[in-house]
Amino acid sequence: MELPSTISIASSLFLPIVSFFLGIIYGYEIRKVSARLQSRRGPWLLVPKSLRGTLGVTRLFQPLYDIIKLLCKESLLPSTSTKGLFRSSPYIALICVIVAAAFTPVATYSHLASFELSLVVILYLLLGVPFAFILGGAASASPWGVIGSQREAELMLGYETPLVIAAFSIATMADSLSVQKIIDVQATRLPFLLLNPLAAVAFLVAIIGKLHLKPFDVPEAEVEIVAGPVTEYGGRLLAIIEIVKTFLIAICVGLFIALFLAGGLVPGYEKLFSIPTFLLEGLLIVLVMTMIHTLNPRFRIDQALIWYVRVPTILAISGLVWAYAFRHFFPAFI
Amino acid sequence: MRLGLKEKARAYSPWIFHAHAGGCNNCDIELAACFAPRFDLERMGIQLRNNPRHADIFLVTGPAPKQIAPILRRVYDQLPNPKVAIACGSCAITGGVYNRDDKKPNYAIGGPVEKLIPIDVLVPGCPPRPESIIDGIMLALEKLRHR
Amino acid sequence: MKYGVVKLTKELLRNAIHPVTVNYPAKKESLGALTEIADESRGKHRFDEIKCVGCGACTIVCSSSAITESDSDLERTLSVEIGRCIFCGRCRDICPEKGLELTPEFEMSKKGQSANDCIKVEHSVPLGTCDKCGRTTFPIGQIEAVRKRVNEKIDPANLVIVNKDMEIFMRYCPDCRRTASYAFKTHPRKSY
Repeated sequence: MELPSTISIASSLFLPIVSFFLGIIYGYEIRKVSARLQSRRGPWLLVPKSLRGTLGVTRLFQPLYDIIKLLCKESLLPSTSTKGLFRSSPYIALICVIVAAAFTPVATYSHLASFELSLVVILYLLLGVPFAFILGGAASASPWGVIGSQREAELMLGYETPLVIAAFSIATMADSLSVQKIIDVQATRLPFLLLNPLAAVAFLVAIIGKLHLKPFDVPEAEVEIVAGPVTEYGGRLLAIIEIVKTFLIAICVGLFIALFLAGGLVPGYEKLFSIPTFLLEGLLIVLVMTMIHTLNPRFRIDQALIWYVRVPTILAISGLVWAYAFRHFFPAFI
Repeated sequence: MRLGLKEKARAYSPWIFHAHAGGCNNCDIELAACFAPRFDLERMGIQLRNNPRHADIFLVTGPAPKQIAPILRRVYDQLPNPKVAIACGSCAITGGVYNRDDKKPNYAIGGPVEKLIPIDVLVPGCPPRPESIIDGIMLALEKLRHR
Repeated sequence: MKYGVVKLTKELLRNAIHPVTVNYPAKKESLGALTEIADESRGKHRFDEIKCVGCGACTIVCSSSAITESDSDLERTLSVEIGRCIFCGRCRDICPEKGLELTPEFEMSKKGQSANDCIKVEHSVPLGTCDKCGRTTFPIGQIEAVRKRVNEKIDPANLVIVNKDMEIFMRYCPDCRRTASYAFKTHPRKSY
C-alpha cells in the first residue's frame, strides 16, 4: 500500500462531518415521525411567525442544538466512581466512531472504502460503542449504571451475531470484503436487497437493536432504571455520548445502503445522481425503523435475547446458506 | 460565541426535571398534560427527563413538607450550571391553602420553596392551566438565555 | 396479534395527518385552534369599579387568606395576592354586590425571586368619616349600599321611621353612636 495522498486525507476528514450532519437529520426525522404518529406535531420544521424571534426559524437541527447546549454546561463527576475510566470511555467511543465514519461511503464516495478489508474494519470499530457504554456504566458508581451495562452486554450478544453474519453473506456474494467493490458489483447486477432479502431483513433488525430503538430499548430503559449506563453523565460527557449516537445512526444506515442498495447508484445514471438517491433511501430506511419504534413496547432483556437468537440469527444463517447456493448455482450473476 | 450560538442553543433545547415536593398532584397532572398531544412542548425542543444530571430547568410543584426540605436542596444542586428554577402552582409560591394563617404557621410545611432554593420564575394557579405552564416556561427560556 | 398491528398502523397514519395539537404559544390561529378556554374558567380577578363597595366579605371567606384589606386615612385597599389564591371562587360567590369576577385570563407568570414579586390585583375605595370624632368609619359606597338594600327589603309600614334612624346612624362611627345615644334618643333602655 502506498502512503495516503493529501486528497485522501482531506476527504477522510470531510466524510465524518458529512456523516454527522446526516445523522442529525436522521435524528430529527425520528423525532418528527414518531411525534406525528402519536397525533402531535414534533419539533417545528417552520416555526410560526409570531414566535420566530424567540424560537428561531426552523428546528431542523434540533439534535445539534441539544449537543451544543450540553457542550456548554459543566460536567459533574461522581465522587466514588473510577474517574479515569468514567471520563475516558465516551472519548474512546468517539474516536472509534469517527474513524469508522471515514470508512463508510456516503453516496458511493469514500476514499478509504476501497481498502481490501474495509467491511471488517467498520464492523470492528462499531464495537467500540457498546464497549464504551458497558465500561462507562460500570465505572459510574451507581446501581442504575451497573444494571444498564449488564443489559447492554447481553443485548450486544444478541444483535452482533445477525449483523456480522448478514454482512459476511453479502461479502460472499460479492466475493470481496471491501465496501467499494461490493457497491461496484451491485452497480452492474441487481442490488443485493433483491438477490438476498433474508440477509437484508436480518441486518435491518440487528441495526434496530444497535441503535437502541424501541423494541430493544433495554439498556436505556427510562422508566425502570433511570437512564441506564448514561445516568451519571451530565454536561460535556453527555454531549460526547450524543455525538457518538448521531454518528452511529449515520454509519449504520450508510452501511445498509452500501451493502444492500448499491450505495444509492441508479443503473444507467451517472455517479452524481446518487446523492439525492442516497438521501432518499436513508430517509426511507429511518422511516421504517421509526414506525417499528413507535408501534412497539419495550422487550425485557431475556425476551430480547431469546428473540434475537431465534429469529434474526436463523434468518442470517439462511441468508449465508442462500449466498453460497447462489454462488454455486448462478455464477453468471456474480 | 460571536454567533450567539451558545445562548441560542440554551434557549432552543431546555430539558426539564420535575421535582415533586409534596402536594396534591394536580400541578403534576397539568404538567404531564403539557407533554401530551394537545399542548405539545416537544415542538419547542423541550424534553421531560427523569434524571437531574441531564436537565437545565428545575420545576417544583407542591409545598415542601419538612421531610423533603433537605432533599430538595440536594437534588437542586445536582443540576449542572446554568440552571433555572420554576415554582409551579400556588403551593410552591406561598404554601397556598396550607399556609392559611400567617400567625400560626403550618406544623408540617417546611416553607414555601423560596426558602429552600433560589427561584427564578413563578407560575401561579391552582392548578395552573397547561397554557399557563407553557407561558412560564417561555419566560424561563428568556432567563436561561442570559445565564 | 399481527392483525392488531395492521389496524394500529392504519390508525397511526390517520393520526399523522390530523394532529390534535393546539397552537398555543403562537398568537395566530392559522394552523388550528389557538386554544379553547371555557367562559366559566376561573382566572385572574377583576374588581368592578362601581359595584365593589369595599365591604370586605371576600376577605373573611377566602380559603387561603389571599384577599386582604388595609386601611389608610383616606381609602381602603382590597388586594388579591395571586400567588396565594387557589381560584376557588368563594369570594365571587359571597360578594353581595356582585362586584368581583374571575375572568378567564390565565397568563399570570412572572420572573421573580420570592412570592412578593407575584402580581397583586388591587382596588381602592374612599372611606367615610365620622361627623363627631373625625375618625374613618366605613367606605362611602358600603353605606349607600346598605341604605339601598334596607329600603328595598323592609316592610313598608316601617319605612319612614327606619329612614329617620338611618339618617342619624349613618353619619357617625360605632363608638360615637354608643356614647351619644342619649342625645340621639336611640338608647334602648330609655323611653323617650
